[in-house]
Amino acid sequence: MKRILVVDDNEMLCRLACDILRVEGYRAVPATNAAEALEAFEKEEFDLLVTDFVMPGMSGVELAQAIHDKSPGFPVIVMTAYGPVECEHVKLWLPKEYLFPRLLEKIRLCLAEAETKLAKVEK
Amino acid sequence: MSLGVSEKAENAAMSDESNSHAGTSVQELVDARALDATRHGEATRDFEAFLRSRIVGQDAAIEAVTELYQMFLVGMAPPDRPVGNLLFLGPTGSGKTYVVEVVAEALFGNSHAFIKVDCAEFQEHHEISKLIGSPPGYIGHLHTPALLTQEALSRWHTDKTKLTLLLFDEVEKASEALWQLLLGILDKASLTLGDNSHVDLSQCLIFMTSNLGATEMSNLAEGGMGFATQATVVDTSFDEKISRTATEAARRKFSPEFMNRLDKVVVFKTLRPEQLEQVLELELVKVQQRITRAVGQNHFTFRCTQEAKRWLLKEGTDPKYGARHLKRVIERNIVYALANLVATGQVASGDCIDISMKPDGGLSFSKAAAVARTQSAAE
Repeated sequence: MKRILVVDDNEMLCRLACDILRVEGYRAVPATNAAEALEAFEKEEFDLLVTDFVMPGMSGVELAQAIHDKSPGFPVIVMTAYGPVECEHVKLWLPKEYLFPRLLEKIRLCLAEAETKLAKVEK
Repeated sequence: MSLGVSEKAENAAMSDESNSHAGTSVQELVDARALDATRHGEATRDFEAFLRSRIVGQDAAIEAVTELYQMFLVGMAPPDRPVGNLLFLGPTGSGKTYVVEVVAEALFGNSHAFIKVDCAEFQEHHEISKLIGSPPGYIGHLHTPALLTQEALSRWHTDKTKLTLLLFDEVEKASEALWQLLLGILDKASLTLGDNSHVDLSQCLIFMTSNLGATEMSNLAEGGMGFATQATVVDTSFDEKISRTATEAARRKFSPEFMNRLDKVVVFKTLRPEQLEQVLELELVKVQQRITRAVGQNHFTFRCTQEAKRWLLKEGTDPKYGARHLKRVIERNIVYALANLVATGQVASGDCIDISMKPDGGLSFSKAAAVARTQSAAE
Protein backbone atom coordinates (compact mmCIF):
# COMPACT_ATOMS: atom_id res chain seq x y z
CA MET A 1 0.00 0.00 0.00
CA LYS A 2 1.48 3.34 -1.05
CA ARG A 3 1.83 5.93 1.70
CA ILE A 4 0.94 9.55 1.13
CA LEU A 5 1.52 12.50 3.46
CA VAL A 6 -1.19 15.15 2.97
CA VAL A 7 -0.51 18.65 4.32
CA ASP A 8 -3.04 21.49 4.40
CA ASP A 9 -3.82 24.07 7.06
CA ASN A 10 -7.50 23.69 6.16
CA GLU A 11 -8.05 20.77 8.52
CA MET A 12 -11.40 19.88 6.99
CA LEU A 13 -9.92 19.56 3.50
CA CYS A 14 -6.84 17.75 4.79
CA ARG A 15 -8.91 15.09 6.57
CA LEU A 16 -11.45 14.78 3.77
CA ALA A 17 -8.69 14.36 1.18
CA CYS A 18 -7.08 11.66 3.34
CA ASP A 19 -10.41 9.89 3.60
CA ILE A 20 -10.84 9.93 -0.17
CA LEU A 21 -7.31 8.62 -0.66
CA ARG A 22 -7.96 5.78 1.81
CA VAL A 23 -11.05 4.78 -0.16
CA GLU A 24 -8.80 4.72 -3.23
CA GLY A 25 -6.52 2.24 -1.48
CA TYR A 26 -3.71 4.47 -0.19
CA ARG A 27 -2.45 4.91 3.33
CA ALA A 28 -2.94 8.64 3.86
CA VAL A 29 -1.59 10.58 6.84
CA PRO A 30 -2.84 14.13 7.53
CA ALA A 31 -0.74 17.04 8.78
CA THR A 32 -2.06 20.58 9.20
CA ASN A 33 1.25 22.43 9.00
CA ALA A 34 4.80 21.99 7.76
CA ALA A 35 6.28 21.29 11.20
CA GLU A 36 3.79 18.47 11.77
CA ALA A 37 4.55 17.14 8.29
CA LEU A 38 8.32 17.12 8.90
CA GLU A 39 7.78 15.29 12.17
CA ALA A 40 5.63 12.66 10.42
CA PHE A 41 8.26 12.36 7.68
CA GLU A 42 10.91 11.63 10.32
CA LYS A 43 8.84 8.95 11.97
CA GLU A 44 7.42 7.15 8.97
CA GLU A 45 8.32 6.29 5.39
CA PHE A 46 6.22 7.85 2.64
CA ASP A 47 6.03 7.46 -1.11
CA LEU A 48 4.60 10.89 -1.90
CA LEU A 49 3.93 14.32 -0.40
CA VAL A 50 0.78 16.25 -1.30
CA THR A 51 0.90 19.73 0.18
CA ASP A 52 -0.95 23.02 0.16
CA PHE A 53 1.03 25.97 -1.26
CA VAL A 54 0.23 28.79 1.15
CA MET A 55 0.30 27.84 4.82
CA PRO A 56 1.11 29.81 7.96
CA GLY A 57 4.82 29.51 8.78
CA MET A 58 6.51 27.40 6.17
CA SER A 59 4.96 27.29 2.67
CA GLY A 60 4.44 24.13 0.64
CA VAL A 61 7.49 24.87 -1.50
CA GLU A 62 9.66 25.46 1.58
CA LEU A 63 8.38 22.20 3.02
CA ALA A 64 9.26 20.42 -0.25
CA GLN A 65 12.76 21.94 -0.07
CA ALA A 66 13.20 20.79 3.54
CA ILE A 67 12.15 17.28 2.56
CA HIS A 68 14.47 17.30 -0.47
CA ASP A 69 17.36 18.21 1.84
CA LYS A 70 16.80 14.81 3.48
CA SER A 71 15.45 12.81 0.52
CA PRO A 72 16.53 14.34 -2.81
CA GLY A 73 14.07 13.74 -5.62
CA PHE A 74 11.19 12.79 -3.30
CA PRO A 75 7.97 13.35 -5.32
CA VAL A 76 5.92 16.37 -4.27
CA ILE A 77 2.54 17.55 -5.53
CA VAL A 78 1.42 21.07 -4.61
CA MET A 79 -2.25 22.11 -4.41
CA THR A 80 -2.76 25.80 -4.87
CA ALA A 81 -5.40 28.46 -5.15
CA TYR A 82 -2.82 30.97 -6.46
CA GLY A 83 -1.87 29.92 -9.98
CA PRO A 84 1.10 27.90 -11.28
CA VAL A 85 3.81 26.71 -8.91
CA GLU A 86 6.86 25.75 -10.91
CA CYS A 87 10.16 25.11 -9.17
CA GLU A 88 12.74 22.36 -8.89
CA HIS A 89 11.19 21.00 -5.67
CA VAL A 90 7.72 20.53 -7.09
CA LYS A 91 6.97 17.61 -9.37
CA LEU A 92 3.40 18.57 -10.21
CA TRP A 93 0.94 21.23 -9.14
CA LEU A 94 -2.79 21.55 -9.52
CA PRO A 95 -5.40 24.20 -8.80
CA LYS A 96 -7.62 23.65 -5.77
CA GLU A 97 -10.68 24.51 -7.83
CA TYR A 98 -10.46 21.21 -9.66
CA LEU A 99 -8.79 19.15 -6.97
CA PHE A 100 -10.82 15.97 -7.36
CA PRO A 101 -10.57 13.76 -9.31
CA ARG A 102 -7.46 15.39 -10.85
CA LEU A 103 -5.40 14.92 -7.71
CA LEU A 104 -5.97 11.16 -7.96
CA GLU A 105 -4.72 11.13 -11.56
CA LYS A 106 -1.62 13.13 -10.60
CA ILE A 107 -0.93 10.83 -7.67
CA ARG A 108 -1.12 7.75 -9.91
CA LEU A 109 1.18 9.42 -12.42
CA CYS A 110 3.75 10.44 -9.77
CA LEU A 111 3.81 7.03 -8.11
CA ALA A 112 4.11 5.22 -11.45
CA GLU A 113 7.05 7.45 -12.45
CA ALA A 114 8.74 6.90 -9.11
CA GLU A 115 8.39 3.13 -9.53
CA THR A 116 9.80 3.20 -13.06
CA LYS A 117 12.74 5.24 -11.80
CA LEU A 118 13.33 2.77 -8.96
CA ALA A 119 13.16 -0.20 -11.33
CA LYS A 120 15.77 1.43 -13.59
CA VAL A 121 18.08 2.06 -10.61
CA GLU A 122 17.66 -1.56 -9.45
CA LYS A 123 18.56 -2.86 -12.94
CA MET B 1 -36.06 -42.30 27.03
CA SER B 2 -37.42 -38.79 26.99
CA LEU B 3 -41.06 -38.18 26.33
CA GLY B 4 -42.55 -35.82 23.80
CA VAL B 5 -44.65 -32.93 25.06
CA SER B 6 -47.95 -34.50 23.97
CA GLU B 7 -47.16 -37.87 25.58
CA LYS B 8 -46.32 -36.12 28.83
CA ALA B 9 -49.52 -34.18 28.64
CA GLU B 10 -51.51 -37.39 28.10
CA ASN B 11 -49.87 -39.09 31.06
CA ALA B 12 -50.57 -36.08 33.21
CA ALA B 13 -54.20 -36.07 32.14
CA MET B 14 -54.60 -39.74 33.09
CA SER B 15 -53.39 -39.21 36.60
CA ASP B 16 -54.62 -35.70 37.17
CA GLU B 17 -56.58 -36.55 40.37
CA SER B 18 -53.83 -38.41 42.11
CA ASN B 19 -50.66 -36.42 41.51
CA SER B 20 -49.40 -33.00 42.47
CA HIS B 21 -50.63 -31.44 39.21
CA ALA B 22 -54.20 -31.72 40.43
CA GLY B 23 -56.15 -28.69 39.28
CA THR B 24 -53.76 -27.95 36.35
CA SER B 25 -55.46 -28.29 32.96
CA VAL B 26 -53.82 -30.24 30.15
CA GLN B 27 -53.69 -27.10 28.01
CA GLU B 28 -51.82 -25.21 30.74
CA LEU B 29 -49.32 -28.00 31.00
CA VAL B 30 -48.76 -28.07 27.25
CA ASP B 31 -48.32 -24.27 27.21
CA ALA B 32 -45.86 -24.38 30.07
CA ARG B 33 -43.67 -26.90 28.30
CA ALA B 34 -43.85 -25.48 24.77
CA LEU B 35 -40.46 -24.33 23.50
CA ASP B 36 -39.67 -22.12 20.56
CA ALA B 37 -36.68 -23.48 18.67
CA THR B 38 -36.77 -20.61 16.18
CA ARG B 39 -35.90 -17.95 18.78
CA HIS B 40 -32.42 -16.49 18.82
CA GLY B 41 -30.33 -15.40 21.77
CA GLU B 42 -29.83 -11.71 22.48
CA ALA B 43 -26.37 -11.54 20.90
CA THR B 44 -27.62 -13.26 17.76
CA ARG B 45 -30.63 -10.95 17.59
CA ASP B 46 -28.33 -7.92 17.80
CA PHE B 47 -26.13 -9.44 15.12
CA GLU B 48 -29.10 -10.11 12.85
CA ALA B 49 -30.51 -6.63 13.43
CA PHE B 50 -27.15 -5.14 12.40
CA LEU B 51 -27.09 -7.20 9.22
CA ARG B 52 -30.69 -6.24 8.40
CA SER B 53 -29.85 -2.55 8.90
CA ARG B 54 -27.07 -2.76 6.30
CA ILE B 55 -28.11 -5.41 3.79
CA VAL B 56 -31.01 -4.83 1.45
CA GLY B 57 -33.07 -7.54 -0.23
CA GLN B 58 -30.95 -10.58 0.67
CA ASP B 59 -32.88 -12.15 3.55
CA ALA B 60 -31.78 -15.70 2.70
CA ALA B 61 -28.13 -14.73 3.14
CA ILE B 62 -28.85 -12.95 6.43
CA GLU B 63 -30.75 -15.97 7.76
CA ALA B 64 -28.05 -18.44 6.71
CA VAL B 65 -25.28 -16.44 8.39
CA THR B 66 -27.36 -15.78 11.51
CA GLU B 67 -28.14 -19.49 11.98
CA LEU B 68 -24.47 -20.39 11.78
CA TYR B 69 -23.49 -17.58 14.14
CA GLN B 70 -26.05 -18.80 16.68
CA MET B 71 -24.58 -22.32 16.46
CA PHE B 72 -21.11 -20.89 16.98
CA LEU B 73 -22.18 -18.81 19.99
CA VAL B 74 -23.74 -21.73 21.83
CA GLY B 75 -20.78 -23.97 21.01
CA MET B 76 -22.82 -26.35 18.88
CA ALA B 77 -20.88 -25.89 15.67
CA PRO B 78 -19.83 -29.33 14.34
CA PRO B 79 -16.47 -30.43 15.74
CA ASP B 80 -13.51 -30.78 13.36
CA ARG B 81 -15.31 -28.85 10.64
CA PRO B 82 -15.47 -25.14 9.92
CA VAL B 83 -18.22 -23.27 11.74
CA GLY B 84 -20.01 -23.06 8.41
CA ASN B 85 -19.47 -23.41 4.67
CA LEU B 86 -21.61 -21.09 2.59
CA LEU B 87 -21.75 -20.73 -1.17
CA PHE B 88 -23.11 -17.41 -2.43
CA LEU B 89 -24.31 -17.46 -6.01
CA GLY B 90 -25.93 -14.65 -7.93
CA PRO B 91 -25.67 -11.85 -10.39
CA THR B 92 -22.85 -9.37 -10.18
CA GLY B 93 -23.59 -6.31 -8.06
CA SER B 94 -26.12 -8.10 -5.86
CA GLY B 95 -23.91 -7.83 -2.76
CA LYS B 96 -22.28 -11.24 -2.25
CA THR B 97 -18.94 -9.86 -1.05
CA TYR B 98 -20.69 -6.97 0.66
CA VAL B 99 -22.51 -9.41 2.99
CA VAL B 100 -19.12 -10.69 4.21
CA GLU B 101 -17.97 -7.10 4.79
CA VAL B 102 -21.08 -6.36 6.84
CA VAL B 103 -20.63 -9.55 8.89
CA ALA B 104 -17.04 -8.45 9.59
CA GLU B 105 -18.27 -5.02 10.63
CA ALA B 106 -20.92 -6.55 12.90
CA LEU B 107 -18.43 -8.87 14.62
CA PHE B 108 -15.24 -6.80 14.70
CA GLY B 109 -16.29 -3.23 13.92
CA ASN B 110 -14.20 -3.32 10.75
CA SER B 111 -15.52 -4.22 7.32
CA HIS B 112 -12.04 -5.39 6.26
CA ALA B 113 -11.67 -7.85 9.15
CA PHE B 114 -11.71 -10.98 7.03
CA ILE B 115 -9.29 -12.94 4.87
CA LYS B 116 -10.03 -12.79 1.18
CA VAL B 117 -8.65 -15.32 -1.23
CA ASP B 118 -9.24 -14.11 -4.76
CA CYS B 119 -9.44 -17.45 -6.57
CA ALA B 120 -8.80 -15.78 -9.94
CA GLU B 121 -5.22 -15.28 -8.70
CA PHE B 122 -4.80 -19.03 -8.21
CA GLN B 123 -5.56 -20.35 -11.67
CA GLU B 124 -2.13 -21.92 -12.12
CA HIS B 125 -1.09 -24.96 -10.12
CA HIS B 126 2.12 -23.41 -8.72
CA GLU B 127 0.30 -20.34 -7.40
CA ILE B 128 -0.99 -22.38 -4.48
CA SER B 129 2.31 -21.57 -2.75
CA LYS B 130 0.99 -18.03 -2.25
CA LEU B 131 -1.64 -19.55 0.04
CA ILE B 132 0.27 -22.22 1.90
CA GLY B 133 3.89 -21.15 1.36
CA SER B 134 6.61 -23.14 -0.42
CA PRO B 135 8.24 -26.23 1.06
CA PRO B 136 11.70 -25.62 2.59
CA GLY B 137 14.44 -26.13 0.05
CA TYR B 138 12.73 -24.28 -2.77
CA ILE B 139 14.61 -21.19 -3.84
CA GLY B 140 13.04 -18.17 -2.20
CA HIS B 141 10.73 -20.18 0.07
CA LEU B 142 11.45 -17.77 2.91
CA HIS B 143 10.16 -14.94 0.73
CA THR B 144 6.84 -16.65 0.05
CA PRO B 145 5.03 -16.37 3.36
CA ALA B 146 1.80 -18.37 3.55
CA LEU B 147 -1.45 -16.39 3.58
CA LEU B 148 -3.42 -18.94 5.58
CA THR B 149 -1.32 -19.23 8.73
CA GLN B 150 -2.79 -19.74 12.21
CA GLU B 151 -1.62 -16.21 13.11
CA ALA B 152 -3.37 -14.74 10.08
CA LEU B 153 -6.58 -16.59 10.94
CA SER B 154 -6.59 -15.27 14.49
CA ARG B 155 -5.57 -11.73 13.53
CA TRP B 156 -9.03 -10.25 14.11
CA HIS B 157 -10.01 -12.40 17.08
CA THR B 158 -11.22 -10.57 20.15
CA ASP B 159 -11.71 -11.84 23.71
CA LYS B 160 -15.40 -12.10 22.89
CA THR B 161 -15.33 -13.39 19.32
CA LYS B 162 -12.84 -16.04 18.31
CA LEU B 163 -14.24 -16.48 14.84
CA THR B 164 -12.48 -16.03 11.50
CA LEU B 165 -14.22 -15.00 8.31
CA LEU B 166 -12.59 -16.57 5.28
CA LEU B 167 -13.77 -15.61 1.81
CA PHE B 168 -12.93 -17.50 -1.38
CA ASP B 169 -14.02 -15.05 -4.05
CA GLU B 170 -14.95 -16.27 -7.54
CA VAL B 171 -14.38 -19.83 -6.43
CA GLU B 172 -15.18 -21.27 -9.88
CA LYS B 173 -11.89 -19.80 -11.14
CA ALA B 174 -9.76 -21.83 -8.73
CA SER B 175 -7.13 -24.22 -10.06
CA GLU B 176 -7.36 -27.97 -9.44
CA ALA B 177 -4.73 -27.62 -6.69
CA LEU B 178 -6.84 -25.02 -4.89
CA TRP B 179 -9.91 -27.23 -5.27
CA GLN B 180 -8.18 -30.12 -3.54
CA LEU B 181 -7.07 -27.79 -0.78
CA LEU B 182 -10.57 -26.37 -0.44
CA LEU B 183 -12.19 -29.81 -0.22
CA GLY B 184 -9.91 -30.66 2.69
CA ILE B 185 -10.63 -27.37 4.44
CA LEU B 186 -14.40 -27.67 4.04
CA ASP B 187 -14.44 -31.24 5.31
CA LYS B 188 -11.79 -31.47 8.00
CA ALA B 189 -11.11 -27.82 8.83
CA SER B 190 -7.45 -28.58 8.52
CA LEU B 191 -4.65 -27.42 6.27
CA THR B 192 -1.01 -28.41 5.98
CA LEU B 193 1.33 -25.60 5.02
CA GLY B 194 4.44 -25.84 2.86
CA ASP B 195 6.63 -26.10 5.96
CA ASN B 196 4.51 -29.04 7.16
CA SER B 197 2.86 -27.13 9.99
CA HIS B 198 -0.85 -27.62 10.51
CA VAL B 199 -3.50 -24.93 10.54
CA ASP B 200 -6.79 -25.43 12.34
CA LEU B 201 -9.75 -23.83 10.55
CA SER B 202 -12.48 -25.08 12.90
CA GLN B 203 -13.10 -21.50 14.07
CA CYS B 204 -13.68 -20.30 10.51
CA LEU B 205 -16.87 -19.29 8.83
CA ILE B 206 -16.14 -19.95 5.18
CA PHE B 207 -17.80 -18.01 2.40
CA MET B 208 -17.44 -18.78 -1.27
CA THR B 209 -18.83 -16.58 -3.98
CA SER B 210 -19.40 -17.37 -7.61
CA ASN B 211 -20.75 -15.69 -10.70
CA LEU B 212 -21.58 -19.06 -12.26
CA GLY B 213 -24.39 -18.75 -14.72
CA ALA B 214 -23.58 -15.03 -15.10
CA THR B 215 -24.09 -15.11 -18.86
CA GLU B 216 -27.45 -16.86 -18.58
CA MET B 217 -28.45 -14.52 -15.77
CA SER B 218 -27.39 -11.55 -17.84
CA ASN B 219 -29.50 -12.84 -20.75
CA LEU B 220 -32.44 -13.13 -18.40
CA ALA B 221 -31.84 -9.60 -17.13
CA GLU B 222 -31.69 -8.24 -20.65
CA GLY B 223 -34.85 -10.06 -21.68
CA GLY B 224 -33.24 -12.79 -23.78
CA MET B 225 -31.30 -12.83 -26.99
CA GLY B 226 -32.28 -11.30 -30.28
CA PHE B 227 -32.93 -7.88 -31.68
CA ALA B 228 -36.10 -7.08 -29.78
CA THR B 229 -34.84 -7.32 -26.22
CA GLN B 230 -37.00 -5.82 -23.53
CA ALA B 231 -36.17 -4.22 -20.22
CA THR B 232 -36.64 -6.83 -17.49
CA VAL B 233 -39.22 -6.45 -14.76
CA VAL B 234 -37.66 -7.82 -11.58
CA ASP B 235 -40.37 -9.85 -9.86
CA THR B 236 -40.66 -13.14 -7.95
CA SER B 237 -40.71 -15.33 -11.05
CA PHE B 238 -37.61 -13.54 -12.32
CA ASP B 239 -35.85 -14.27 -9.01
CA GLU B 240 -36.88 -17.92 -9.28
CA LYS B 241 -35.46 -18.13 -12.79
CA ILE B 242 -32.21 -16.54 -11.62
CA SER B 243 -32.09 -18.91 -8.66
CA ARG B 244 -32.68 -21.97 -10.86
CA THR B 245 -30.12 -20.80 -13.41
CA ALA B 246 -27.43 -20.22 -10.77
CA THR B 247 -28.06 -23.49 -8.93
CA GLU B 248 -28.05 -25.53 -12.13
CA ALA B 249 -24.83 -23.86 -13.26
CA ALA B 250 -23.26 -24.63 -9.86
CA ARG B 251 -24.29 -28.29 -10.05
CA ARG B 252 -22.84 -28.57 -13.55
CA LYS B 253 -19.52 -27.01 -12.57
CA PHE B 254 -18.93 -28.24 -9.02
CA SER B 255 -18.39 -31.86 -8.05
CA PRO B 256 -20.87 -33.64 -5.75
CA GLU B 257 -18.07 -33.88 -3.14
CA PHE B 258 -17.91 -30.09 -3.05
CA MET B 259 -21.66 -29.53 -3.03
CA ASN B 260 -22.08 -32.07 -0.21
CA ARG B 261 -19.67 -30.17 2.00
CA LEU B 262 -21.73 -26.98 1.87
CA ASP B 263 -24.04 -26.05 4.72
CA LYS B 264 -26.08 -23.80 2.51
CA VAL B 265 -26.18 -22.46 -1.04
CA VAL B 266 -27.64 -18.95 -1.14
CA VAL B 267 -28.70 -17.43 -4.44
CA PHE B 268 -28.67 -13.65 -4.28
CA LYS B 269 -31.65 -11.89 -5.70
CA THR B 270 -31.54 -9.14 -8.25
CA LEU B 271 -32.37 -5.93 -6.40
CA ARG B 272 -35.71 -4.36 -7.25
CA PRO B 273 -35.94 -0.59 -7.90
CA GLU B 274 -37.29 0.15 -4.41
CA GLN B 275 -34.47 -1.92 -2.89
CA LEU B 276 -31.91 -0.04 -4.96
CA GLU B 277 -33.39 3.15 -3.52
CA GLN B 278 -32.78 1.76 -0.03
CA VAL B 279 -29.19 0.92 -1.01
CA LEU B 280 -28.72 4.50 -2.19
CA GLU B 281 -30.06 5.87 1.10
CA LEU B 282 -27.64 3.63 3.01
CA GLU B 283 -24.72 4.73 0.87
CA LEU B 284 -25.57 8.42 1.34
CA VAL B 285 -25.75 7.92 5.11
CA LYS B 286 -22.33 6.25 4.94
CA VAL B 287 -20.89 9.24 3.07
CA GLN B 288 -22.25 11.59 5.75
CA GLN B 289 -20.75 9.35 8.44
CA ARG B 290 -17.41 9.38 6.61
CA ILE B 291 -17.40 13.18 6.49
CA THR B 292 -18.32 13.42 10.16
CA ARG B 293 -15.68 10.87 11.14
CA ALA B 294 -13.01 12.45 8.95
CA VAL B 295 -13.41 16.06 10.03
CA GLY B 296 -14.78 15.57 13.54
CA GLN B 297 -16.74 18.29 15.26
CA ASN B 298 -16.23 20.78 12.45
CA HIS B 299 -18.20 18.70 9.98
CA PHE B 300 -20.81 19.88 7.51
CA THR B 301 -23.93 18.08 6.33
CA PHE B 302 -25.53 17.51 2.96
CA ARG B 303 -28.89 16.40 1.66
CA CYS B 304 -30.09 15.38 -1.79
CA THR B 305 -33.37 16.17 -3.46
CA GLN B 306 -35.46 13.24 -4.76
CA GLU B 307 -34.57 14.28 -8.29
CA ALA B 308 -30.84 14.12 -7.48
CA LYS B 309 -31.29 10.70 -5.88
CA ARG B 310 -33.10 9.43 -8.97
CA TRP B 311 -30.22 10.67 -11.10
CA LEU B 312 -27.65 8.92 -8.89
CA LEU B 313 -29.65 5.69 -9.13
CA LYS B 314 -29.87 5.97 -12.89
CA GLU B 315 -26.12 6.53 -13.19
CA GLY B 316 -25.06 3.96 -10.59
CA THR B 317 -27.30 0.95 -11.15
CA ASP B 318 -28.68 -1.25 -13.88
CA PRO B 319 -30.24 -4.72 -14.13
CA LYS B 320 -27.00 -6.19 -15.45
CA TYR B 321 -24.58 -4.86 -12.83
CA GLY B 322 -26.96 -4.23 -9.90
CA ALA B 323 -25.60 -1.64 -7.46
CA ARG B 324 -21.96 -2.33 -8.36
CA HIS B 325 -21.23 1.18 -9.64
CA LEU B 326 -23.34 3.09 -7.16
CA LYS B 327 -20.53 3.73 -4.65
CA ARG B 328 -18.25 4.94 -7.44
CA VAL B 329 -20.92 7.27 -8.83
CA ILE B 330 -21.55 8.73 -5.36
CA GLU B 331 -17.82 9.13 -4.77
CA ARG B 332 -17.26 10.92 -8.09
CA ASN B 333 -20.34 13.10 -8.09
CA ILE B 334 -20.83 13.92 -4.41
CA VAL B 335 -17.70 13.26 -2.35
CA TYR B 336 -15.24 14.77 -4.85
CA ALA B 337 -17.52 17.75 -5.42
CA LEU B 338 -17.87 18.37 -1.67
CA ALA B 339 -14.10 18.13 -1.24
CA ASN B 340 -13.63 20.69 -4.04
CA LEU B 341 -16.12 23.01 -2.34
CA VAL B 342 -14.15 22.69 0.91
CA ALA B 343 -10.86 23.25 -0.95
CA THR B 344 -12.12 26.50 -2.43
CA GLY B 345 -13.57 27.75 0.84
CA GLN B 346 -17.17 27.54 -0.33
CA VAL B 347 -18.12 25.14 2.45
CA ALA B 348 -17.27 25.69 6.06
CA SER B 349 -17.89 23.97 9.35
CA GLY B 350 -21.60 23.74 10.22
CA ASP B 351 -22.84 24.34 6.68
CA CYS B 352 -25.61 22.29 5.16
CA ILE B 353 -25.29 21.66 1.44
CA ASP B 354 -28.33 21.03 -0.72
CA ILE B 355 -27.70 18.80 -3.71
CA SER B 356 -30.20 19.09 -6.53
CA MET B 357 -30.30 18.77 -10.31
CA LYS B 358 -29.15 21.38 -12.79
CA PRO B 359 -31.77 22.11 -15.47
CA ASP B 360 -29.35 20.82 -18.12
CA GLY B 361 -28.38 17.66 -16.18
CA GLY B 362 -25.68 16.98 -13.59
CA LEU B 363 -25.74 17.83 -9.90
CA SER B 364 -25.94 21.32 -8.49
CA PHE B 365 -24.73 22.32 -5.02
CA SER B 366 -26.04 25.17 -2.91
CA LYS B 367 -25.72 26.26 0.67
CA ALA B 368 -28.96 25.81 2.62
CA ALA B 369 -30.52 28.82 4.31
CA ALA B 370 -29.41 29.58 7.87
CA VAL B 371 -32.68 28.32 9.38
CA ALA B 372 -32.30 24.96 7.66
CA ARG B 373 -28.69 24.77 8.82
CA THR B 374 -29.71 25.35 12.43
CA GLN B 375 -32.33 22.61 12.17
CA SER B 376 -29.83 20.23 10.62
CA ALA B 377 -27.28 20.97 13.34
CA ALA B 378 -29.94 20.34 16.00
CA GLU B 379 -30.72 16.98 14.43
